[in-house]
Amino acid sequence: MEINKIIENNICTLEISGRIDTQTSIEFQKVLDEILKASIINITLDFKNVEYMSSAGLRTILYAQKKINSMTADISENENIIKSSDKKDNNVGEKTPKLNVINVNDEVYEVFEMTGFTDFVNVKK
Amino acid sequence: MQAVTSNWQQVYNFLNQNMRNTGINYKLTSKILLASEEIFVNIASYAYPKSLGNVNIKYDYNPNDFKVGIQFIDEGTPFDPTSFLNFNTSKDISERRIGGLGIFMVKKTMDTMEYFYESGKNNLIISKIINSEVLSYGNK
Repeated sequence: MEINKIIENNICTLEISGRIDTQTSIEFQKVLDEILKASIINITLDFKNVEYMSSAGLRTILYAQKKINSMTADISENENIIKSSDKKDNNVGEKTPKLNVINVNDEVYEVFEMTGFTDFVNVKK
Repeated sequence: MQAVTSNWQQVYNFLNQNMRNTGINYKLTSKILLASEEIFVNIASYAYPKSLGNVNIKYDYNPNDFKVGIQFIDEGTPFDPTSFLNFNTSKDISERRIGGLGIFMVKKTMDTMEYFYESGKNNLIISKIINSEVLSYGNK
């Protein structure tokens, strides 16, 4: 597996190629961690050259999305404290960016779909 | 071979080559590899909690019964994955747990999953029906 990282205007695209399995997902998570530590939460995973992904890859994606959710919740909480907002309908969920996974092949898309991951991550063929 | 996750590549190559020789197409090969990885990693992670142990993997294709079967045999802690509860795929992300996802994927991708414990060994056989369509073209 190889990962090419492109960061522009606080938006990150990871071009991944090869297989995301139990061994390579360690590196995958490490790269995602670095991006999240830099407070970048708008992330696109380009799967154009990903031929295979096991549940190890899904776990990494779940981990990253959960981190993004908690980071967004923290930001929103701080904003609310500063502004002393009286808005009652402030919905953190709407502000939370979802991971984008694009150019997914049929086999990998099926993995996302069968596990229900398409509900909380933007997955596009 | 030793049941350690770093041996997955070796298992991948072994199964991939066998399925290639059988003539199974890329789509089905991916599914079977996916299920096999989940089982192999499960054995490597949990079968031998206190020491290192082995796992034997057998590939079987019999054109007469139109079935490909992969058998995993280990001498670790008895564990029947077929009795594992179904994974709830409709749960919200905040409620999602990591465990159980792999076994769920095996159940979804394979046609049968059989388990028996015999002479101190876990035996797990996963199989998939092979029809002429999946044998009709070469692998990637």
